[in-house]
Amino acid sequence: MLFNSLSFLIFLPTVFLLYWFATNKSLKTQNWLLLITSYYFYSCWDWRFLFLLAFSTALDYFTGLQIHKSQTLGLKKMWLIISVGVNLGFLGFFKYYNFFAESFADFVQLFGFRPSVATLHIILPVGISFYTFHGLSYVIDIYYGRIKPSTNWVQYSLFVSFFPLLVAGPIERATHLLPQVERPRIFNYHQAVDGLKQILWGFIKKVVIADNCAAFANQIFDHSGEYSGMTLVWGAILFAFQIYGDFSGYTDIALGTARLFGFELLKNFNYPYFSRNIAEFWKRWHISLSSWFRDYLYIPLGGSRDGLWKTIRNTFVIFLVSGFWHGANWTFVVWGGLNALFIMPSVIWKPKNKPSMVVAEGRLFPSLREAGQLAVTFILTTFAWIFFRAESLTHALAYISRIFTANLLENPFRYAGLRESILCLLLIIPFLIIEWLGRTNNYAIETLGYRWPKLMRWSFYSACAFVIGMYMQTGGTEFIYFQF
Amino acid sequence: MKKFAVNLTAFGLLGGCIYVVLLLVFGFTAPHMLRPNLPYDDDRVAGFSNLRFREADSIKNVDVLFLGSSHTYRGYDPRIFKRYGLKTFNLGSSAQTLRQTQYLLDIYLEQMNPKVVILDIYPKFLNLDGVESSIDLLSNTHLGKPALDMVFDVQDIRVLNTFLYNAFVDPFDNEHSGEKITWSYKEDTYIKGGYTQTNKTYASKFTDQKVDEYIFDEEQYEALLDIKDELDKRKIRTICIQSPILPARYARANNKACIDSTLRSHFSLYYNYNEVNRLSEECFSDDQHLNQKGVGIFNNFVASVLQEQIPDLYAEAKDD
Repeated sequence: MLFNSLSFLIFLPTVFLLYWFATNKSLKTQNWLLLITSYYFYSCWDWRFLFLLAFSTALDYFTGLQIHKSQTLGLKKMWLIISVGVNLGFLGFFKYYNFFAESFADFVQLFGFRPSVATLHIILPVGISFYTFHGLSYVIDIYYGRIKPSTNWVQYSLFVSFFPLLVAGPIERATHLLPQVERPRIFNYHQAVDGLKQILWGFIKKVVIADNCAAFANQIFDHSGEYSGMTLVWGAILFAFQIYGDFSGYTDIALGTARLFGFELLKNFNYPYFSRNIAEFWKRWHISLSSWFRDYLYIPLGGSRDGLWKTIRNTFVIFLVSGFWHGANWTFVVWGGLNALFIMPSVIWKPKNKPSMVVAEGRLFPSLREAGQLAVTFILTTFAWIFFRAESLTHALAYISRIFTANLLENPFRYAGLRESILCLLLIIPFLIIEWLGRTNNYAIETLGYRWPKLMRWSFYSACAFVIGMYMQTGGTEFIYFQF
Repeated sequence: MKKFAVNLTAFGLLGGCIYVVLLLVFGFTAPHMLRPNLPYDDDRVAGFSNLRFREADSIKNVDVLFLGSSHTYRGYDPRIFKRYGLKTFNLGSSAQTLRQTQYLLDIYLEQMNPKVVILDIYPKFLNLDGVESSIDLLSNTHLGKPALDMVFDVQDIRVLNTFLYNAFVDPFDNEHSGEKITWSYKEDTYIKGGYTQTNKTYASKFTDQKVDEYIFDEEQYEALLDIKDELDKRKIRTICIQSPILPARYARANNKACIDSTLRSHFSLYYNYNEVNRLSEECFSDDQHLNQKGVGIFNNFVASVLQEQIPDLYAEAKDD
């Protein structure tokens, strides 16, 4: 079930009404209801993978208890290894088996062998990377004594499978979400209204910005050999906005939906395209994944404690692993490596003063220097996105080399099939202005028009709904991050 | 919670009004590119839907009613059937699928009271979503409950926007004054009785390598059964026909036998003209539509089927 589908439009209000009216405000009933509806939500993709989700949940619940109960460190470690090993084993099998099999075959072919490697037709269970990481953070936190295990199976299951975050995050931490699952929730008017506003903005990002950009970005990437250099640059920019609108739009809908049920999920995006360098970009993009890798990989590896070279090594490790987490393709690994490379100046020459988290804070416009920094960061990010989007490394390299060889200054809108992509430009510009004006908020329209008269404010939200109705792409396109 | 429910309802009402107002503003002022989900076009003359449905409003008691896609309004000439003494009307419309055929029957069946319905089926449209056709019909017919049913049925924002726009514009539309009627467009001419005549001859060589998949969509299949039920209930005889397309194109279609067998199982009078006679390229205006020469040959075949299979129709027509 997609957030941008008619079924979700029926599902959400139904669950909302049942949750607040049919559960008699009983925590136990509310949790049961959310658990059942979350499993139903997941089963709409493929009910067979419910067993995998249930197994992964049961495994982490059980091993969490065992780690906590174990008297010796060795025993604790054994249970941790079982949990991590089985979780990563499933992830590895479903997501990476074919990749490793094919890469192995390619590698031994270099030495003249012709191996017969069996690849399997494996369906990737939606959201497996997300719920596996939920579970891993839970058992690792218990192992390090940061939290106590949950003793309520329903509450723990809901923490793993809560439907707004089940398929594409944010990757929650037990320390943040479990307490919310455990304590009674009462309806909060402001929280619910805020949730609806965030859902509205999420839909604008997804169905207006991302889907419109996707139509042309796909066309340009799929036929990159036929277009001029400037058109390929335009294609990369469109993809940059597609992936931002798609993923952050999904997150806004997820966060807004959770708010309707009294939950606050982790913030996952903080205006990443308003970053002054790549280090800042990664503090603003997919925050829950970046912080997961920081806490469970970078810091255990030594972080920045053991000198410059180890810091550089650790930085590369987390970016390469993060790239690989995104998908079983060398393009993602190179994308991760490029980002590690781009972040190096910030690693080597650490800034003396921490810059403000908000660019041009208290001012309407950025300074010339800030504008330059924003532009350079956007260019570097967009360049790396080419690898992320390309079908293969060869495709990415051909795409980049063609940018510089094929009429770099030729107008992209002269192609018949791309003439209407000018609409994307007309949508992106006001979108960026609103995002810029709202960059201090959790989401762009959180406080926009806060002091306006109610009628004017409501008219603005209605206009947002109209923009969705007028510019949404039809056909219920899937979210990019579902594949991860 | 009460405040939430009240405010949400109030916002829904205000939002609905603002949505419609903005829709009207965009519909009247914005160029097509800036209103992708309101593709309604009041200048659209291609296919002559505006003229056809305006004429249809005054047509009563026909002998034969034709329904189907552009193959229909370009493929059945009422003048030819008139020579056989039959009063006919052509209710074909662009990309019409069976779901839209149902809609047209809801509106016109009672009024036109046909003795025979010829249902022209182009199998390539049996798995279309029906959006294009719905927009065309909503833009050119009077809106009522059947139109609303179709909006819910098709479930597409473009169809909903077109419906809302027309629901507010229609009552003030002065097109019916007759000032803007266009009877010719490019090589096409509108002929009274719902037909679009073209004398253009297919000139290029058919090189399309794409295979046309003939697949019966589940909802279209249900619509077919409903149409059949409705016509049977009213004791209206039905003939199902596949009108001819360019033989080279027909040769590239898949699953033809299955579609033939399905349609034959539901209609005792079913004819796939592509299998009956292989027309030459000079009978076509493009790779899918007949020109006047082709229509002449094809319509004489249809008239002979009517004579042979429903002879009483001619007797009744003579009596009338």
